[in-house]
Amino acid sequence: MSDIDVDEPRPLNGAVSSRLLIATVVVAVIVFLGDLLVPLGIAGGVLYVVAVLLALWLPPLYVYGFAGACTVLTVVGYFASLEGGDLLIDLANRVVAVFAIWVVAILGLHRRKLSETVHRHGQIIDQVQDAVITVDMDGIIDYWNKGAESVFGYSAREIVGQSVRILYASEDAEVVRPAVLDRLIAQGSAELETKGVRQNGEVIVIRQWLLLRRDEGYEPAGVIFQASDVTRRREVEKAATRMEAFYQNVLDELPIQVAIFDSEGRFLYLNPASLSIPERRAWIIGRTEREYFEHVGRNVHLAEERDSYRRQAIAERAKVTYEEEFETRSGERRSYAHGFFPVFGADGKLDKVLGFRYDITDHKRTAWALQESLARLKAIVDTAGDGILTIDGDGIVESCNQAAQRLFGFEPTEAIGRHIDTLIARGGGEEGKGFYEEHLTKIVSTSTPEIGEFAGLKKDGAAFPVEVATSKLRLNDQPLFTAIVRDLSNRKRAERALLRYNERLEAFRQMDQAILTASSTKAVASVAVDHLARLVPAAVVCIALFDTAEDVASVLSVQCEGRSSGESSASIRSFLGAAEESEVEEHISRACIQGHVVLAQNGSQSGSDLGSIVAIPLVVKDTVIGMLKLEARSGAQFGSEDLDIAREVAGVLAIAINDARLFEEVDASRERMQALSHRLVEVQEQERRLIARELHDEIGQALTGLKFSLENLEKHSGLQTVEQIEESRRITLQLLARVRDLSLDLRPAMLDDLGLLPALLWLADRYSKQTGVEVRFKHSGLDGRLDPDIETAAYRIVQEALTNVARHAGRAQAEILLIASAETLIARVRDDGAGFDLKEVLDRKNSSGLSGMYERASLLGGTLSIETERGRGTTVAAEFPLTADETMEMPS
Amino acid sequence: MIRIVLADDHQIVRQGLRKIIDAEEGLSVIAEASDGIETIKIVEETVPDVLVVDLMMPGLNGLAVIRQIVQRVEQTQIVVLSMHADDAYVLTALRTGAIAYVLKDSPSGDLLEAIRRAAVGRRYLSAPLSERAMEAYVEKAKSSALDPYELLTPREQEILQLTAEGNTSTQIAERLSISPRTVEKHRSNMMSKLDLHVQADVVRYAIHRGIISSDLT
Repeated sequence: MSDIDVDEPRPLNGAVSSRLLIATVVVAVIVFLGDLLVPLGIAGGVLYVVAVLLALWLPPLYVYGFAGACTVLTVVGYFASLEGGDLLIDLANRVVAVFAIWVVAILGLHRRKLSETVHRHGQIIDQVQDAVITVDMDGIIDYWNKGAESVFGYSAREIVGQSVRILYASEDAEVVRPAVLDRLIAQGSAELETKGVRQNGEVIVIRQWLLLRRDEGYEPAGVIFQASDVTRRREVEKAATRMEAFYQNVLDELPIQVAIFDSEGRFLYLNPASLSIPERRAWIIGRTEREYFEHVGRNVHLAEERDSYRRQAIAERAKVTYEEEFETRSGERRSYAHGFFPVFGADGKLDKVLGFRYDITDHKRTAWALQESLARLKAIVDTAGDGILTIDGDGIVESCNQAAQRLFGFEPTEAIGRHIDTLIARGGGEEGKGFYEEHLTKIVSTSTPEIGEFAGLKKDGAAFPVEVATSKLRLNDQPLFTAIVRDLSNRKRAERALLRYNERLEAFRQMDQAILTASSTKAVASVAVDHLARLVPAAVVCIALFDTAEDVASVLSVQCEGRSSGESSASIRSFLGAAEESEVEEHISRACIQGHVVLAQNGSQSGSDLGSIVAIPLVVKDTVIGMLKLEARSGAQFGSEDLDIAREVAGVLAIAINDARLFEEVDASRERMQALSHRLVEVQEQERRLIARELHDEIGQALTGLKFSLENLEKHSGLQTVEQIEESRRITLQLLARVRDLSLDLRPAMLDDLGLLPALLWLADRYSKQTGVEVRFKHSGLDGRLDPDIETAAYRIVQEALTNVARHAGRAQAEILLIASAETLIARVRDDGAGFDLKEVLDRKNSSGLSGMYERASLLGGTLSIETERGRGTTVAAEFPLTADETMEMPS
Repeated sequence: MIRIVLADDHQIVRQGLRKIIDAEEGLSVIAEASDGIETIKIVEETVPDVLVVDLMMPGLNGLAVIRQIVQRVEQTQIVVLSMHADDAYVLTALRTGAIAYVLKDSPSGDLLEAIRRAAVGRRYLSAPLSERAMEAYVEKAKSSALDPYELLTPREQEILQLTAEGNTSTQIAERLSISPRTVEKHRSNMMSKLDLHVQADVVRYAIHRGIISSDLT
């Protein structure tokens, strides 16, 4: 290739070629004119060759054109030129000339084309960055292109003629050469990578393609080297390998499932996150997902679906992502984000497809939950019974739920945009200020709602009571109010009803209590009338008891317009306002059947069964004992509720009156009994007192008189009679003493004359003397006189107790304790004797002594207690209540 | 001459007395009265030296008569002639203003002696009665300062002690073989009699009284 002529004709550029064209034409014309004018003979035609040669620098068409033109001119010249020679020779000449023209033109063009090719190749080789070096069989460099210069640093001038070995690192040169040559000779080409040395000594990695050059005899003539410096590329490749390893690691460890597919969808790589079992991972490489699914027996539908997305990614040349949901084998529903990412090579062709997948179940669940809770919240707000409004900072309604629409009577969205003042009227406060100004803007707290009662305004302007709980919050730094509006109409109604019911109950309770504590029928009736007048809007409330036998209605209590009046009586007929006797029975029986009877109607409402005068029977054991009569205020009628109340009252009343009646009867008989028994004691005492006084005063005084007269007689008589009289006087004295004792036993006059304490002191003294029982007497506060009945009772009780001591206690000591305070008198007798079984004694019922003591104490409102036990002595204690006026000053 | 008015509701007694008194030198019954009101009227009219009066008279009893006369007629000394030999009567009569007390069944000489002494303003008591007996009675009739502890029944005293010793109602009930409710009742009675309000008061009282010793606590 070294003989390529750089001066070979080549097509020239425009301006040059036109000048050359003119020059060529000129030459051709001169030759033609010369031929015409001067017979050129044989040479004539050959001169055209010059023109053709010139034309060789023009495009080939011109060359052929000129060749043709010169041929024509040669022919023309043959006929037109001046004859000078032999025509035949001239013809032959000219044929030769034409032949020469064409040979030159064709060969010239061919030659030119060849040289152009070579030139172009040389240029290409020079343009190539790779080094292109040719060596002969001895290794001497005979060609060195520009690429070689840049790779190795040597210029062609410096290196041509030198051995190729200097390009190699010493250790490579010897080893490589024979083996390479052998391979070259055997195979014709070789590719190898060795280390090379640049001119500046820098060691580089060179990749080379060796081509055996053969000569015409097919003998090895040399080697063509194409070498490139791949140092950088190798370094990059090494880095890339490291990177790849790194990426491999990353992919292996990545929690995201990553797979790499080839263009056909076969797995090239699959990270452990995708498939944890290494054997399966190994198996799957080179296979498609579908094959894998078939292999493991899973539904291939999923694989097909994935395939379709993968193909979509390839078709769109862009990443495709989608969400995939399926059930795991354990039945759990899981969600995955799936994606394919096509990777295209430098050639624009699909290289591989990256597939990735990660679990978004939790994320999805959160999203689902959020969605669900939002939906639920909305549902709650919408289905809430209370109206819920949100109001912006200017008082304009922003949203309202269905309940609020219902509440205010708006169509959906109608309320939105209105001012809150058109929905909720202000609750008191300054004139001219609405709910918004008066209430909303005053909310300070953003944590607790403020609750108030207001008037709601319906769309049609009707007002209704509402409870509004307003809260303030800040949203995006704008105040926002929420108002929860509750319709209080029902509640208010219920509250009122409850209140009424409560009042009724309370009244009933009070009435029951009052009735229970009231002891007389009159008191019961008056309580009932009082309460009923408060519960029922009646002008007159009247309770009467009937005595049907006598036809008398005794009115127990009447209340007329708040004024009570006492008892009176009338006939049952007039009480009921009946015209006929028969009507009375009819009224009563109707009352029993219906629970009430209407005695008078008001005005024209005669159809109503609730009249203006109503009577309700008081029934006890199927007997009407009386009636409760109610008269309405003029023009008014009773309602059914009023009647219910009245019936209830009547029910309670009937029983209470009956009870009170029975109670009164029992009370009366008990009082009679008590009075009787009191009288009995009194009579007994009276009797004793009389007898005692009789004994003492009459008989005793008579004896005294007798004694004095005997004494008188004695003074004025003789001795014998004196003895007789003395005897009489002695007998009289004995008699006197006996009478006195008897009198004292019956009833000591001292009790009446001097009081309880002297009487008991005397009694104790006498008792000790008579029985030998030692009596200790303690007393306190008995300086005055007490109620004679109490004195008597206390005296008798102590007397009886002492008698019992003497009778049962054996030899014992007794103690009398007597204490009077402002309120009570306590008399107690205690002994340390044998004691007795109280129950047994009381059960015997013949112990008039003990029961007499009880009787005496209880008649005066006192109590008596006996505490005894066998071997433990006996204590009898009586306690009497004293009233202030019962203690009187002791005469002094 | 000692002027005497006799007051007794019994004719026979007055007659007997009048004979005995009139038989004596220097004594003279100037008037008789048969009931309390009459007695006062006669004494006011006659102003006798001595009034002999029975304690038991209809209309106005003897004690009331004595009180009236002591107030209205200072000169008249009063001799009580009574069937009641009781100290209480005697004392009451003397306290009311009588100067002598003669029992009806004592010898008639006693009455004459009493009238004579009374006329000169000296006290006289019939033989079985004496000043000493009077004093003893006065002593007996004096209010005794009562210890509230005395008010307790034996049961209550037991329960006081057991409670003070720290026993519960149930323990006390077991100990005394009675029901706890009865114990409670006794205890509340005991505490109200002693004016005690809480358990600590009971213990304090018991220690103070020496019912339990203080080193028990």
